[in-house]
Amino acid sequence: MTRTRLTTRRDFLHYTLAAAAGLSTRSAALGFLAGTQAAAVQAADQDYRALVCIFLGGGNDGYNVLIPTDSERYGIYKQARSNLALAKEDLLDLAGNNAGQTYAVWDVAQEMQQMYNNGRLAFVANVGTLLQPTQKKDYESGKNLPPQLFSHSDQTDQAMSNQLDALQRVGWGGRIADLLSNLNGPNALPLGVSIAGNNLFQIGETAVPYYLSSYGVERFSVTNGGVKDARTRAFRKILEQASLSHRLLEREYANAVGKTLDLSESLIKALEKSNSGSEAWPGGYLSDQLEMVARMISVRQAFGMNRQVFYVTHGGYDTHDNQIDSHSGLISELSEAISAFHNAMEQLGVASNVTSFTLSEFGRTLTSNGDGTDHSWGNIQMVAGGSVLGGQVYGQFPNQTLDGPDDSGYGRLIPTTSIEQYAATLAAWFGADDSELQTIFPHLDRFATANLGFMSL
Amino acid sequence: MSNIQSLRRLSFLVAIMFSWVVWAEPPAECVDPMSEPQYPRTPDTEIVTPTDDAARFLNMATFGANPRDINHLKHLTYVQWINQQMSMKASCHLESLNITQDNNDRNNRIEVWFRHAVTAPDQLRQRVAFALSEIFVVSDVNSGIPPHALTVYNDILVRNAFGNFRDLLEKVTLSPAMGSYLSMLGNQKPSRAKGIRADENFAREIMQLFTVGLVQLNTNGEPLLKDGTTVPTYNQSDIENLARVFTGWSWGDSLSFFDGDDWRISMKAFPAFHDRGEKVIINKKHIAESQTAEKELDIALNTLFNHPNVGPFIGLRLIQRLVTSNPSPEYIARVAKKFNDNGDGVRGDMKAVIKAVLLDPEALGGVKVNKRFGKLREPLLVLTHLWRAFDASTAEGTLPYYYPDYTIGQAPLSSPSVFNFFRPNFAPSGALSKNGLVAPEFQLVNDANNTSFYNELWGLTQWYYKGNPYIDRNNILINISTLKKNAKNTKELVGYLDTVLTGKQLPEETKLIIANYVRKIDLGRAEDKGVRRSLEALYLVMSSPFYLIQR
Repeated sequence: MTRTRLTTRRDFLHYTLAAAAGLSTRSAALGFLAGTQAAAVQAADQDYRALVCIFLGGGNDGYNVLIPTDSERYGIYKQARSNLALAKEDLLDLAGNNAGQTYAVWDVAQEMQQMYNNGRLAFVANVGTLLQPTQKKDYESGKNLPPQLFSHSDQTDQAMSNQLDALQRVGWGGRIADLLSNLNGPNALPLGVSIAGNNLFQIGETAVPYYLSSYGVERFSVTNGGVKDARTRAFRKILEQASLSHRLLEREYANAVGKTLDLSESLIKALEKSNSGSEAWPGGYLSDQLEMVARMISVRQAFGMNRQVFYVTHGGYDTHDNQIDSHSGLISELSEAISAFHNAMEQLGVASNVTSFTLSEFGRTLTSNGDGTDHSWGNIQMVAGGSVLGGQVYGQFPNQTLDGPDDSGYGRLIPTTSIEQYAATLAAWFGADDSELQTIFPHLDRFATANLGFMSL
Repeated sequence: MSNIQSLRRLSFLVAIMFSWVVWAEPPAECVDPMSEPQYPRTPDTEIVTPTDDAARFLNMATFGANPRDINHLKHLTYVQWINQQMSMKASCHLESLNITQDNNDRNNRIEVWFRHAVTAPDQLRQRVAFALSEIFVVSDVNSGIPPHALTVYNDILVRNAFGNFRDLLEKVTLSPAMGSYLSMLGNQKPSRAKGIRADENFAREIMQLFTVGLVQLNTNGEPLLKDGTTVPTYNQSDIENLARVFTGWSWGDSLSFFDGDDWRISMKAFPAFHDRGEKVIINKKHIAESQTAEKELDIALNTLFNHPNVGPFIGLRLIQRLVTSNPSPEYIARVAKKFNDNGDGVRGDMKAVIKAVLLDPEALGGVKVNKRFGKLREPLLVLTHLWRAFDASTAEGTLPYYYPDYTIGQAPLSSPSVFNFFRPNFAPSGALSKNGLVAPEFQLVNDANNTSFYNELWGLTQWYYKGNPYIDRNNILINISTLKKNAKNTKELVGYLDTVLTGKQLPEETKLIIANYVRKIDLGRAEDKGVRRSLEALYLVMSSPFYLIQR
């Protein structure tokens, strides 16, 4: 894919989306754009797709990132959020107006506003863990609710995995890897790559991600003498003994270290030729991880990678305290990092091949606990990239009235879209077919639609 | 005068000269930080505990077996050793931190932590306090809690490690570090006018993580089932009510609810900010209206403390931190029963609980008693073991090692969240989870950490030893003189390492590989005699899965 072609496509998309944002129905925009984007993807010289999960640890307060601004809904928002409500002068308007409904983002998310208005970013409203469509009366009667709502650890597991009752805990990114790793070449790395350490999301029945840090890959000092060196051989021989041991702890530990040892050399060599696609990374914890994702994407061909799922994290979202200060810093960092990442993807010629999306264990109470919020449920998620049908708010934006039809209490909003629907939409774009989607997302057929329509095909 | 004494004298003078250094008399239960560590005298009696058993036991009960402690324990029974440990004065960290030149420098906090872990005579207390710091988690990650505040908090765990769980729970609850970490500090009563309600953070986590957990448990730690499903311990309404109990607490040094900054003293109640309405908390415990914040806190902590889950819940966690990842239900039940009643009708006696954890037949028998016995050593415990087993020190007498989070992926009181570095039920994918085994410490095992951990271990074992002419003596250096003496006979060399480091758990074939490999290394001459063999054997043992998995 050449730079010229990309730029052209982006400008074209920008133009059409600006027009599309004014359309009253999403389907009209979707049908129109799907055709043009399919053509663009076909024009690419490769079939490469990557998903980048940005996990916002602690529970992001999404309802202070995307704010309804039409007067009726803004009034409700302001009432519900009391001393955490953002004033209109602290908001940046988003383009588009759907039957009088308008939105803005917090002004610390300037890049998000631009990406949305350029059609490269979409919001998905009121997403959460669900076992089936759930109304307020179901919540009140405790009918088929996700277990241990509002607990960090449990809701993190459930956001990452839809199969918690399985013997072995698997994440949906890992199940995708189980089923689609065959699309990668024979010398491929694991389909999953984590820049943020261990996570359930990328664990499959057989799939295990490769883990590296933002600093890249180190060589094992003990093997500095090379593979034929006596020391290297002694070291490897002990690992091999342990990996054949009947003792499971020793065996699994040796396997984990053996895998690191086997992959590190080729990665070090490949990363020497990597390119992060940009010199304008904002820096910081999240940006550094995304920069490493960009580097890995730049060397994908060295490993014959056609499909990759990356995982990065941004922590500190558990804003029980001092929320306005800390959350504004986090969202500003998030906004800059996502924007820098997708700019880098354009430079690397894979703008429409790479999609980033946010995930978080839960949203936060609309109500204030003084100067912060507590654990909630439904939340706003963000999806970005050249294949995202951006400039739209997908799903059903909830009624934020306290004690209203969507409120389970204190502004803990009952999700109207399941994380499985959100995830399945991403997985379908990634290449999972219908039967694979059913395998990965066991509750999907309980919901009205398996595809929320925010991705081009 | 030793170096550490001169350092202490100097620091004392500095402390007096600069008023910003907090200086106070050490509390009576703490040892004088100015004195040298006082190790107990080893009795001149016959040997009652075999060497290997002593080493293996010390790997559970201390920051790692070393020759001095092995020799000491050999002359005692386990019970005598524990009793002796429990009768020692505490080595409190704050006292040591306050005689460094800046008690609010994270490097000094970490240095003091390592110094206590490696050299403090009250090893059992220190080791249990570390385990408690991984249960009652407070961290400087994403929290803004300053270093000296964490040290104050750590000392609550050190000083109360052998007290009663109820007291420990209260001291943890009212510490400003925990108050700040889980936002109970400054938590106000609900107000319709202000549009605010009580903060649920501490109320939720004290139940989920510190006392009862999510589901009702049998005494043996297995979930209680009703109609085949687990039974929640509490619901959202219980959390909301408990959150209101925990309103009205702020800085102990302040006249106003909204300021104050003394991390050394417990939070205090401000009546005007406490919700005096009636409440119903866990187990339908009714708290009548119009009571003080102190009274309500007392009722709430008693209710949690007396919940039948606490014994198995805390018991499992202490067993996992000190002994093994997958204890049998019977082992958990034995510990839980000691928690419920120490034999004299006292509930929550930590001395009895710790004895039950360490003296259980399963702890002492290991794989012979339970095939699933074992745990992965935490990275921090590998480092402390290396430095204890080989008597590491610096010319200054301090143990300056500042960035374990970057080198080995773990720093004390620095976990990523209140869920610790790893969760008690973590199981890596593959054979372990398929067999229903958990391995919490594996949550830190991944490619990135593997390389940095192995390379740090390489550097520390290959370069940082006394006698290396190329290394600055201000670094922490291990003493390999005993290894060098054994280096001629490499089987003996490896045998010595096996004894001190694992209590003879290494498989014969592993020892053979190491002995054969190092035999081919030239023994060397004069000062260098035996050095390379010693260092390489040391690394190969400590990097081996048969060492890193503690059996």
